[in-house]
Amino acid sequence: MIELDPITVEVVTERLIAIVREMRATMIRTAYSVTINEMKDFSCALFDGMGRLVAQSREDLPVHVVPMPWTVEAILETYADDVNPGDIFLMNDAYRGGTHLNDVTMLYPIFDGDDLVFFAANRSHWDDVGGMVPGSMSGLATEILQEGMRIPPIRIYDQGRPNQPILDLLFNNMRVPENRQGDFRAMLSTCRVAEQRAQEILDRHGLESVIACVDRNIERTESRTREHIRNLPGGTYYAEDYLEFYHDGLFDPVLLRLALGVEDDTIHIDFSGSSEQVAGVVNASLAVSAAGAVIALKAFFDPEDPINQGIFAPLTFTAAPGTVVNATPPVPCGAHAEIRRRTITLTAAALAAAMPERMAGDMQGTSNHTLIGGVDDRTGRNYVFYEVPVGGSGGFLEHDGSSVFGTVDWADNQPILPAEAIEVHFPLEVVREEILTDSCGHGRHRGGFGLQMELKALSRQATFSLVSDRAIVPPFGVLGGTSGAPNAYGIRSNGQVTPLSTPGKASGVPLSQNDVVVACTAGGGGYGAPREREPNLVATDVTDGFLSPDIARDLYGVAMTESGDVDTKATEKLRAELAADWLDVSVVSEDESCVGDLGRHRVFRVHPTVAKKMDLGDDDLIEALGAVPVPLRGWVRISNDMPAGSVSLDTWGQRQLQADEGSTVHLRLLRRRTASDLPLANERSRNH
Amino acid sequence: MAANTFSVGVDVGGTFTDVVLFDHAERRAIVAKVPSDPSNQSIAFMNALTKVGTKLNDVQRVLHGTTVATNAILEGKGSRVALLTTEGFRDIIEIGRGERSKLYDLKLIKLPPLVPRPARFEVPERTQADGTIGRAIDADGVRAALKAVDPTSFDAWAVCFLHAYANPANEQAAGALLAELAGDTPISISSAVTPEYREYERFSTTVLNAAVAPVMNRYLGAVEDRLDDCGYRHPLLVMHSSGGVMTARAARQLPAATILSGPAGGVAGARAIARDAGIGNIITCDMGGTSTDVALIKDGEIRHTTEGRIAGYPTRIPQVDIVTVGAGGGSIASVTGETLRVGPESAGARPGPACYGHGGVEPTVTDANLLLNRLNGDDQLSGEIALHPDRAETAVDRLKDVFPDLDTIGLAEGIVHLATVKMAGTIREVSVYRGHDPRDFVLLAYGGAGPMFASELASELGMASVLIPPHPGNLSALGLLVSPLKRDFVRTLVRRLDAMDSSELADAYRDLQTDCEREFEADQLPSQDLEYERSVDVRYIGQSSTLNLKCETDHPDPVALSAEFHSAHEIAFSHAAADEPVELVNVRVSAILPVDPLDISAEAPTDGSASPSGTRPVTFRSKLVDCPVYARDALPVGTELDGPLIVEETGSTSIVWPSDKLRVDEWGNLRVEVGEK
Repeated sequence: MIELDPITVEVVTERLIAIVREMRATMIRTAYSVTINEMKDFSCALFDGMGRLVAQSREDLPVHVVPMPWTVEAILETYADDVNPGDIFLMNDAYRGGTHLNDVTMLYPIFDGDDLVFFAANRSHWDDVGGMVPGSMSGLATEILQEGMRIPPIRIYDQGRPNQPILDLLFNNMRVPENRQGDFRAMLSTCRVAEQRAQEILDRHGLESVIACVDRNIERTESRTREHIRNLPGGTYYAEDYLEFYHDGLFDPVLLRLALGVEDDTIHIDFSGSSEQVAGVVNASLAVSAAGAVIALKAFFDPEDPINQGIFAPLTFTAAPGTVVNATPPVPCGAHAEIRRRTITLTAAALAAAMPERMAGDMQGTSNHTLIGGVDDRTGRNYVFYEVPVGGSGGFLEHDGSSVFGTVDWADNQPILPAEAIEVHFPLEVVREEILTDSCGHGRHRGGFGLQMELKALSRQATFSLVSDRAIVPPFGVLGGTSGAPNAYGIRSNGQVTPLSTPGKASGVPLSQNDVVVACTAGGGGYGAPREREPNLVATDVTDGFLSPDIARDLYGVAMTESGDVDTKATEKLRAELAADWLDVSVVSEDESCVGDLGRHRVFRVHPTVAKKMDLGDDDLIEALGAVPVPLRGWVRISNDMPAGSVSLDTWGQRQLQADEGSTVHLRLLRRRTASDLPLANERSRNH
Repeated sequence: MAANTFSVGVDVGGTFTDVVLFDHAERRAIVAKVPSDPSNQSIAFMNALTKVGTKLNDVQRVLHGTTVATNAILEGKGSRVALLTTEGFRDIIEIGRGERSKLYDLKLIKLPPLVPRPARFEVPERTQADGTIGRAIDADGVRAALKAVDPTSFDAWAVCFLHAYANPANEQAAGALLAELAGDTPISISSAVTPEYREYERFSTTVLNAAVAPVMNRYLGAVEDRLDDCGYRHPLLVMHSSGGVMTARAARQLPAATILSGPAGGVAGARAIARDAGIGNIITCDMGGTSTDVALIKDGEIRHTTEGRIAGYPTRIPQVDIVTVGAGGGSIASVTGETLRVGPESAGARPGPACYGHGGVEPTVTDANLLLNRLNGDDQLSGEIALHPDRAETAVDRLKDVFPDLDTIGLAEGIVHLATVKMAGTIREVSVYRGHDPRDFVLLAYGGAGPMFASELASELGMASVLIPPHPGNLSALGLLVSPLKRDFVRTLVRRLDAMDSSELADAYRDLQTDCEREFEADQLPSQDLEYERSVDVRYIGQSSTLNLKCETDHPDPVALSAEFHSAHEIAFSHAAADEPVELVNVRVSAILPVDPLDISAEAPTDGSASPSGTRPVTFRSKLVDCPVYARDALPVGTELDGPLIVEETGSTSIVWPSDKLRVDEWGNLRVEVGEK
């Protein structure tokens, strides 16, 4: 064992990170596509000879880097004993450590003499990898073949010789192949730069010393991670959530479940109970689902430093193949990001029971892919406008959430386009861009507010498409905080706003000239009970116009004077009399509370008296608050079979809320079912 | 220039105020340092003038680098600004672009808005993207917007309308109406501050400008009064971020342009030194107490950018492309888990490093250098501060709790090494990451701490050569003296080049030139002597960032520009797309009133031979080596010495490592040929 001083460890670690940064800079300079050099939709990393993640930069996107160890594993599984100098590997298989097919990963072994020391890795979003639509991503895909070329781990260079027939095969099946070749070459140059710089470091410090530093660095991250885990109370923590899904005229949300088991200094994450995969784009590989969990763990334990393999060592994952979180052929995986967002939320929700002080109210939970396209009357040319507007982040122990702000699952892109750029380039007028009043989740620390953005179509022909979520089931509040407003889109025509018939989803909805797309993004969830909020903060929100006086009075119990100050006396009185915004009911066990058709969703059966007290009807969306910070969501079914003052809860629900048979939970209304809602997929349930 | 005339450069920094007096007849510079007074920069300013002992009626030019605007923003002490903006867009200043700086932090908070919501007022008005006025401003609309407020109750106003860069008419009309209502309250108008598109960035720049306008106005007024009392009869000239000076009058209008005033002076000075020495490619490294500023000069040209940021808020004003890292003499070494880090926390000027004896207990880079004996423990830093090696040792020894296997010297070396690695990362940012190989550049090190790190830093990057100018602690002040009067003007004109009439470009340049002339005439400066630098920002349609292309004429041909862009893109990014349409974004003009070059570095002794003033043992790579110590002013031109050795002068110490070679060139620069470490 080599003597290693801590200074050398830091210096070598810094230099390895510098390699990745130089790879990034090289990529930005040499890539062809705007997606890469402008939107920075790519990431680089360095792995060691055993396939362990060694270094990333502070700019590399978690969405790319965190799933990468699975990618490298898939490649090494195939080529383990057969990696030679001059070999280069390529893959994008969404089922085997990939994300979606557009993200293509290159793995480039770096040798010191005969010793395999590092792999340079580059994952980049290719603008097109073939498939049914230009750009390869379609919300309408029903099988992965429609999303482009699926590349298994292949040796694309064999000891320095390109496998030209395979390269030709790939590029022949992609649109604008010369750009794809350009991006491929750019990826290659980043790996060559890494090779050269790694060689310099090896020459300077010697192989043994470099490997020792890498080991040390991974070990200490691992031991820090284990220490964080050991500090958690042992046991299993549960969370379930939904992705919104429609089919055959039904609203049939997809269920995602996560059980997080803490034992000594290890965590096991089990996705069992999640819905079977669907013939739609919301499926992902285990790499993506697990990456979401790792991102959340990182956020809870140690949000500062870049990730290395040390964080993965204490973690294990289980997911049944053929479910939305561990997809198998032939389902599409284009909207893998929505799964990742949800597994981030699920992991955070489960951890919140053990570390409530680290938890924040939920975030908007979707990319809000917003598309307006048509013919620009000024030029006669087609245009496609694409925007991913963000909402608020959740409140937390120390502070309110922030309004219109990229959340943890966004990475560091700039999700708000300048109105001036939109108007210069598209036949659209930005009518308004405003922080949306009352859209926050309320609480001791409220969530951030969402955005109201209005886009007027100026040309005669246009269509509007949307892939969004959290449009029915809103971002949750924690520890009694309320939900943020859901993502809500509508179209204003002649002064009349019509909401989408399938909230959150639209495909090619025609827009007449001067029709306005009104986009309202979700607010962040609140933290703690609104009645505990510092009254002056409530008054400031009212003065700022972010909060209506009615809500200040009715929900926060804050009375204000004419001049906008807090009326202390009246506030005390109001708060003493403030009615709870929930109803206490007792838990009655049942075997299985979830039903559905292709998806599954939770049903809360309640006695008519409960429904009457809360003014509930069948299929209204409610939440139950138990002993843990995060609520459980489900839909109402009024049932005379239920005892008065009770709600039904299966084993999972009881475990998640830590509420046994007979214990009390609070029920709260989230969303009343409206006449225009599609029917919930109850009747044709396979699970009843 | 007439005999017996003088120029004075005064650069106010966080710790010291530097002054250089240049005697044009004798071609001689006198430099001095006085402590800064953060509460009132004008006091140090006048103290500095007194210290070099000049009569101001002999002085032709007083040039000033100031941090008044910068500090006001960084310390959040800007004025209370009210915003008048387009209906529907009052929240732009709070919405921003939604981006986050930390990827894994659930608890990250957005920067607070520069203007609170009750101070944002909307008026019905609209300018279209092509500059057409969709809805003209009307006086009743403005009055209605302000009916509930007393416009004089704010310190400053910002008027920020959508697409005002394309047509400022509505902004100007609203500004005029507001001026009637707001009395003397300063008003900043976005189309005047930075007429570039992208509303958030333009609004942010304009509000920042408004926020520092009152404080800048007061400060410059105070300085001008004192100068006037002392008989100075010319305009006070203020360094701005893009590497030129402007009159105090202009600086009052555009105080946001002084955010990089000091660092830009340093880069200008570095360029002049390098030019005299016949070096085209330099990387400048200005290391001070809390941070290090790095810039790259290629073929004698300073690189510029308009994408600035201060305290996290974007600015869109042309500036020297400087990258700053939080590593300086005062940077604190700390431990997280088992990881030793240096910076970004700094002990600052107060309490300063532990060895200053002002109550600092954390180990800093300066403490480490003192323990390695690279810094002279017997001497006093700049004659102002006594050093206490025992306190440095106690501070560094605190780290032994975590690293029991390392001794004090080992830890000190580690701290210096890590600081060096960190600075090297910043140099990579301006060089490698932008496609330049640092090995093709000379490292020009200045600032109080730069010369101490230069050799080790150069080695880290494989750079062969280091240059340390005379008066390395005063280079920013020196740079003021060589900086011309310069103003930058821009207009956004988003057009496809292939669909553009060449007269449109010529018109834009004519308009911008008129703006230039008007500004110089307002200062009673000779606009007929102006030299113009013209350029355009161009990109492929779909890209968001642009490349800047120089234009040799005032009527460039759009087709030729397209071709030029393809090849510039090929050079910068290794590829071009000859079939893709090219889009013009901005048209830029810089107007420059040149100054006579100053021979600012001709004062090293030309005869005699170098002899050390003593020796001291210094630690290099864990070995204690006896080093001869030379006084800088006792090193004649032409001296050649082998390392290790130390060169000391007021405010700075240069370390020449074993196996380095030192030469004093004919301009008095220390030239170090960097050897193996």
